[in-house]
Amino acid sequence: MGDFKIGRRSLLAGSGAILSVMASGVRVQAQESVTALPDYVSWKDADALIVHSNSTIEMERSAFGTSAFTPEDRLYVRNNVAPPPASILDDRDAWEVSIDGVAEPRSLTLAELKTMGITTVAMVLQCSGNGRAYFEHEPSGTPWQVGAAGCVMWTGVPLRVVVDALGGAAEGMEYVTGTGGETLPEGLDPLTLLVERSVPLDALDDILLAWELNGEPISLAHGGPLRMVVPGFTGVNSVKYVTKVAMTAEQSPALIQQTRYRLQPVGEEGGPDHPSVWQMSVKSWITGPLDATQAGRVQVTGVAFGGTTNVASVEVSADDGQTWSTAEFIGPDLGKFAWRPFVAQMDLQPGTYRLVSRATDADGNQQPEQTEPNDPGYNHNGWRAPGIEIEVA
Amino acid sequence: MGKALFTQGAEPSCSICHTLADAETMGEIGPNLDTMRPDYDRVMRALVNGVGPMTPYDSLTDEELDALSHYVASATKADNVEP
Ligand code: HEC
Repeated sequence: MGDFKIGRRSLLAGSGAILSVMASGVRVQAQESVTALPDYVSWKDADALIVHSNSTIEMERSAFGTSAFTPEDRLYVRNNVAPPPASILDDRDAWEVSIDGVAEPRSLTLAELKTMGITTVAMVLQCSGNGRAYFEHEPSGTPWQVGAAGCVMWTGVPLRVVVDALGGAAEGMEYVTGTGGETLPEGLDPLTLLVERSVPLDALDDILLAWELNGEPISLAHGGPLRMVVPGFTGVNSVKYVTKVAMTAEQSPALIQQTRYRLQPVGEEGGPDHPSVWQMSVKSWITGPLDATQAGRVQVTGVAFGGTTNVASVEVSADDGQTWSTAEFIGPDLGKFAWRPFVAQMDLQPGTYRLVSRATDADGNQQPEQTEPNDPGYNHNGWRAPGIEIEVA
Repeated sequence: MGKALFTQGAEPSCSICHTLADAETMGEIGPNLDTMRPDYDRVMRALVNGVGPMTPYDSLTDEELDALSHYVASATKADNVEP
């Protein structure tokens, strides 16, 4: 049976690769249609977004600009399963979350959480699959380019404060496990659909139970009324509509934890022995100019972040990585989980250029030229593929 | 054959989770296939390897997988309806 499987897999890899890998090696899906925004995000800025499907919506590269943070109406959307009905926002303060795996487990309302403490964290929210389009083996899933990421401010109570108020984590717990409040249909194994993610207990000091995004109550699309936000980790780990947060000895038994969001080699099925998609790595990309521009002094801009640690420096190249110049950060430093917009001032003669950027984090980790492929196409941070070709006239 | 597989032949049925106008299904768990417009290869990969909550449809024959992939790509007017 295993052989049959692998046979089918490689048969597919062969047929697909020829059709849609362009000369540059960048996979661009031609069939992405220009579709209207679905109802639950109809308030978003359609001009700034690419609708891959009703549950996967990416920000246009031209919409990043040089902002230190991303407005919610431009922020990408990705739901693993359909969101719950909007009526869950009718009485936000009445939303309940149960806290388990602590000395005194109990349920708390959002109103009560708001009395316990408050803090704001600026952080890069990035889909695990951002950059999937740049993998050449055509993984399943949305072919995100750079736009499944934004830098946003979350406001809420530190989970540590809540856990301490409930007597601290119980003995022997190793993970923080958040459970999403999506409505699951009858007749299917709930573990295949349940959005329940576990992250290492070490993250406890960074996690927020958040009710505001950029100073506004969190919309349904982004997990309101309450989201468990895990700074430095990819988006899937920040559980939306969170109904339960537990300190657990084991990782969640849900499919989304056990076999999905794993970094298995190409052609293999994911499982608990493969690394989980958790912390983000150092990454950057160019945000402008994106097309034709005038010769002379050109302001080459982009965004860069370290993931779980500060980004230390960024270099920019106009010749696809043959020579590099150092970029400068612009705007305020919003902390180690945020991104930093950057600029490199370049004097460009008429001609064709390929702009790329390469960031290094405070621990000395530098973006690789290419990311080692993993079957589902997660955690892309190679510097070459997201480059931009421009004409200077 | 593709449409029948979509609405009832495949187990679990695609219709529980997906909206597809041509098949008159209204599932809301997964992406709306009419807006996604997945091409043949993308449907095939999802069925063979699984994606998200979909586990691989191992019980379908190669012919059924082909029919289903062709059907979904055609019904959503994807750019590539052939392998
Ligand atoms: C249990 C619910 C469920 C069933 C049953 C189901 N799907 Fe899906 N399907 C999903 C979800 C959820 C996604 C989104 C997965 C993701 O992006 O993580 C998806 C994604 C897809 C995709 C897009 C894959 C990609 O590359 O992004 C296709 C095509 C698809 N399904 C077709 C089908 C077909 C055809 C069937 C029936 C044979 C089917 N699905 C049955 C829930 C389901």
